[in-house]
Amino acid sequence: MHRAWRLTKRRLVASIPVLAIVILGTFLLMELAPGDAVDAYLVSLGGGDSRLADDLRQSYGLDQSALSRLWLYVSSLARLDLGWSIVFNRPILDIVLERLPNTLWLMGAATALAFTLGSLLGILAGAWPGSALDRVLSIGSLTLYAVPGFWLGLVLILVFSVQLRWLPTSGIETIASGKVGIARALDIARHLVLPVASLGFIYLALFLRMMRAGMGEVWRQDFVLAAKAKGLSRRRIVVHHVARNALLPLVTMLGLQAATMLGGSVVIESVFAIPGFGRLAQEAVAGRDAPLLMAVIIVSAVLVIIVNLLVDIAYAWLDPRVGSSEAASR
Amino acid sequence: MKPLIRRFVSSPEGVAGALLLLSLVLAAVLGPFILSGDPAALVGRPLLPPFADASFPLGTDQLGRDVLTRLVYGSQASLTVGFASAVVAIVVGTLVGTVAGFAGGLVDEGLMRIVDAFQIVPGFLLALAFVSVAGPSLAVIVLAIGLGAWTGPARLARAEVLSIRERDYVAAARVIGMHPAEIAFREVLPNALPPVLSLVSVIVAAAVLIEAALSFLGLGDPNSVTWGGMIADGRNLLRSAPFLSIIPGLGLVSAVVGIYLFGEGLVEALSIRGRRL
Amino acid sequence: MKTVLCNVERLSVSYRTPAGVQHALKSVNLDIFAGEKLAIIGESGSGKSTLSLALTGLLPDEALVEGRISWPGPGFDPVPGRDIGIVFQDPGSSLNPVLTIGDQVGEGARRHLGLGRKAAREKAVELLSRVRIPQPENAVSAYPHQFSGGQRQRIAIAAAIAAGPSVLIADEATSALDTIVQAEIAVLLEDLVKNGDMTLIFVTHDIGLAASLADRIAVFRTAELVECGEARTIVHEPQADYTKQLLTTHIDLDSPRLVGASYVR
Repeated sequence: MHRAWRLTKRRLVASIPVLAIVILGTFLLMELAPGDAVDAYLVSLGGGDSRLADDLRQSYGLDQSALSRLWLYVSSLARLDLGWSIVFNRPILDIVLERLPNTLWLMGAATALAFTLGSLLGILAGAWPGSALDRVLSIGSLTLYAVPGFWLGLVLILVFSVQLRWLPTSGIETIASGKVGIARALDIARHLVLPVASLGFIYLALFLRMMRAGMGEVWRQDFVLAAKAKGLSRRRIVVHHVARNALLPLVTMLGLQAATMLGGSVVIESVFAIPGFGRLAQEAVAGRDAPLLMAVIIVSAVLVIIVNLLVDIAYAWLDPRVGSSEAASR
Repeated sequence: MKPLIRRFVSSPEGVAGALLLLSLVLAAVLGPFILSGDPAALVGRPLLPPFADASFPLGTDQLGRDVLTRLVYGSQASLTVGFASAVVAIVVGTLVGTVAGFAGGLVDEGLMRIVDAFQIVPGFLLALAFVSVAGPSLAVIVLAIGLGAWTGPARLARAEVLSIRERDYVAAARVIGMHPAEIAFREVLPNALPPVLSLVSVIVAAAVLIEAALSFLGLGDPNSVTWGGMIADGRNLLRSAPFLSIIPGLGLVSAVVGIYLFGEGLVEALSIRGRRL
Repeated sequence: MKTVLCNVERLSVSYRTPAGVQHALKSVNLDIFAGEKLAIIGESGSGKSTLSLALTGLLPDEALVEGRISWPGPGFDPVPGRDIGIVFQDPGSSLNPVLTIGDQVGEGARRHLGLGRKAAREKAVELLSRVRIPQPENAVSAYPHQFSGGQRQRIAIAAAIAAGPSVLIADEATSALDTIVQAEIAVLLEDLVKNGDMTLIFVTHDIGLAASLADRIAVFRTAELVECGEARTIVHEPQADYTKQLLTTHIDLDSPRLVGASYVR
């Protein structure tokens, strides 16, 4: 685990300037918006006079220069104060902490589904190249990867909720059901089936294709020929020699797709009315809540950094060449 | 040019994709003339199912508008945004990547940190933020999506430049006294371009899907018909008139599949083995 | 009296390519004797590697094969790994980067000798010390990238003989290595084959190596067997013009001899 710690330290240090740029960039972007938070607040009140506006601006520090406001913002971020939400009229940190677990469950389950099922099917397709199974999976995965997540969600709702009535149409749990413990967990799980499928199937297609392509490439390697020359069982060759090597690019892809999947969860949570972190972005835009939107972007960036770090550690565990002087720089 | 075309044609996926895309583009361009209808016009009885009435082959929506006409007009938004965003992403990305790779040192470091920053913010969130700040016009949407997608081309261009930089013809150009900027743009950039082009289909496809998602959330161009918008309109009628949401979705799937297949043909034509799906 | 281990009869191997049918081997007739050290020499594209793949049964499915390979010696077709082992040219790519070398050396033994995990590990340690890898008890837990090219080739040899095959094929096993390391590997192969009572078939483009190591030499050229015979005869009294050419060009080059100081044995 020594290697993992070294990697972690290096990555965290490298992430700081990047995060700083994100914060600066987000701040600048919000500066471009016409009007400020007070304007939006007054709009939500239905109007107000300029004196009220001035007082509010002074109390929120919005009448100060951009630079000092930026400094204020950064220092509050350092204290983990994400600001105040106009839409919810609560500290943003509280809202984020409330909503984040739902999204993490959604994304976690979707990733697990996509990765395990996708690589498994990819291995099967790659184990019998050119077979009917291979062709079906190839065409199917290409089509699935082209499907918009929100549309898939609606189709799934149509089939499973409306027609078959197997699963609920929206929300994260049955409201006011009073369930606790395992019953509640199962209820939530039932509600998450369709959203997880909508979010995950598309990445499943991606991992399937990557694994299949990877298997094709690894099959041609010398060490696979050497494994065949040793007369090893097909199972051993496919699993330990081919798949274990073909898996590596998929793990890298996990990191690369983290940001995209977080973006995807925004729409999926909207379709299924899940009170998640992604949906906050959409609610912030709808309510012209700039502080909330800023916080969502910055927290998203932090999330992606953490996920990428975890993925890198996992990759280092899987590929013994990482971290040694032998490994080519990536 | 000819060997490029020959290689493209040798790939069945590429040809299939090209045909699909061509028909979509033709439909988008010629459709309005053939159909001669206003997509916003209330032309028939509301909620007519598809194939029920010959004059409305794909039915009508809840306001009585012809679905087929709207489908064709919607393709314009998707395809335009898709390609335009890709152009923005590739132009910006290649420029930044070339400058970074060629200049090296602090400039390179700084630009790469900026690339990292754009990469860790989810593209969709960035587009969302942009549109919320600047308003949902077509230009803003194109810019927003393009700015979320330029990081790939930037990294690729930079990698190519780094390898090309040391080659003989660049050294020769330096010797004859070519200005560095001239070298960058006349000698280096054209050679850095082909690998970047292999990303085109991925970027266009992603752009089409992001535009659709933005429109679905009500943040698309309010002045045009969009497939995402149509899906959103049909959402409340999922039980009674599912075709309203299903049909535009099928349009999206066909367009994106066509783009991917075309991309595979393009990769074959450029004979670049590398980042493929 | 030498017994015939393997009999190659009118063996032809070809591939269908967009440019037409390509012949890798054309009607090859060759006998291989048990316990001998046979060198197969020729330039690139002569079909040497195709022959070793054919003998091991590793030809790709697309290969069009005519003629036959029979094994009167053992009386049955050899099972890859158990009866016949092969070492390839590039030590950098013939070992799986994500598995320990203990795993890779032992897996042949586990498969064919039915050894359990612990027994296979011990066998791997023993094999690694036989191929003179230092500290074999630590080496079994290490990965290929931690070793040099020469060491990796030794590991590949250990893996190839793990199940105790009676035939070992070295397909250009020394070609990718430095000269000094080449000599070490050649000596190692000689020792292993002598102690293990194996038949060695080694493919090479290096006449010097063939001359010093082999009992018999088979000369190949563009998919055809040119001539085959005792090493001494081939080197001193070659029949075919091509062989004469090959020898001349080698003697003219002032390259140092690899194993042994002269062609006389």
